Amino acid sequence: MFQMVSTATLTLIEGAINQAIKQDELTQRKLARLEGKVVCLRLNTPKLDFFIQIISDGVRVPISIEHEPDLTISGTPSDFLQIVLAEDMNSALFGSQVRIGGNEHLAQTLMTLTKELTIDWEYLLSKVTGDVIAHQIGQGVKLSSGWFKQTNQSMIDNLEEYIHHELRTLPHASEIDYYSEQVSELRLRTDRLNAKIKQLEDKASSNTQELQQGVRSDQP
Amino acid sequence: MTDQNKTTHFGFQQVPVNEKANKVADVFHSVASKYDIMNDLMSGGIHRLWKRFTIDLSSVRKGHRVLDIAGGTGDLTKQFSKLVGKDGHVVLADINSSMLEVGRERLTNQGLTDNIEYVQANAESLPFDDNSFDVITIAFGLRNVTDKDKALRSMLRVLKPGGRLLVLEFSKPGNPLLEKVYDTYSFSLLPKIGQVIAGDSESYKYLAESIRMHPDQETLKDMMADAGFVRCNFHNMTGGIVALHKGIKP
Repeated sequence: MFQMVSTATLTLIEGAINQAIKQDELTQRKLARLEGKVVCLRLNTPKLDFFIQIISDGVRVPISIEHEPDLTISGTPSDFLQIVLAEDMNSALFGSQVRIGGNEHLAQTLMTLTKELTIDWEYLLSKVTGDVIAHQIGQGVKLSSGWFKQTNQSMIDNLEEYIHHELRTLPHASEIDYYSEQVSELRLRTDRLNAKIKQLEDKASSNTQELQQGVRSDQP
Repeated sequence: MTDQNKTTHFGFQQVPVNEKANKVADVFHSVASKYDIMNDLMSGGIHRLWKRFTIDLSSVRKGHRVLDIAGGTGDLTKQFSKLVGKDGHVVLADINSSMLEVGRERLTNQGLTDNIEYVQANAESLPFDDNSFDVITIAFGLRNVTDKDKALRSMLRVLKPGGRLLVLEFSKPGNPLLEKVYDTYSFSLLPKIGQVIAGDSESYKYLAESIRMHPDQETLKDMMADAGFVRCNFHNMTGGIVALHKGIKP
């Protein structure tokens, strides 16, 4: 039974991705150049492998693959989510725990394509539930998403305050800025002092030379 | 005993061996035009998941040569054609000209023409060179073949060493309660659906009977091993109503 549920779920996911690809001819053409390539998305917790096989007019999401995938991307679900939601996927990938094995060029190409691809979940849902229900669900998701973002930001703010002011384990950003300004000022003043010393040294040296010349001229 | 005297099953009837192929052919000539809609109705659409799982386990890749025996209206061939790409090749074979014609028309109308070949062939004596396919599938076809052992040996011959055979077929449910419900459905409701949709109750009565006469999971696995396949195993689907058998040519 689990097998059939998994197969049905993967069929739905595959349908959604292919629907989005069909709406974007350029992505479809770019993807077609990668025909035959297989990508494995490996979740560390829970341990699960998802495969994406690129075919001539889209992708397949098979339940298993018996040969070695061309590319394996592994990480936790939140790692994947962070990268997918990031404005700049490359930067997000650089700082994340996601590991890439195999064809890295394929990874770069697919990341660019994924970012360009917009899946209209509401449209797809409307095919199953009808327009009204799909719209209601869509609105619900958008509101929840807004609330989630707000809650998330608030949580980050509170955590920041606790670390900076209560625990005092990390300096606040303004303190770091002040410290940086002080260091810059010190560097400037040191440079100025250095220049002054050099000037005095030069002056002292020239006075010594003049004095020596005067002594020689006074001699009979 | 001569071929004339030998008999085999056709549903629950016994018929002369040399007549079974013609009788099966009549069934499929009769249902060809309504085959797809009947499959959806009879299985509630689940046959698509059974076929999808078969494709997943086939491990077909770009450049492969695939033989889809009893390919009928081309459900599997369509997917294989996309998976093997322009460098690969798919042969849709069916003993029945009506089914083959429906499959050819359907796939051609969908623009799938580059890498598909249509061959009318008997699974017992496949008209292909030895070692010529990476993957062979036979979906809901083996139970209609008169001499199944001969057909399995023929498939082994045309497979490349290391190639795989996948047999998708109705089988025996593991749960007695499910079996009872399934029996009631098959023998009471199925012929009525056939009468309403395809105008043919007899063909669907044959379908139900032929499923009961087909070897169960373990027997078919042993038959595949006897034919020369190795690493034979099977996956039950929908409680064993359908099973997918897999064997590798050594």
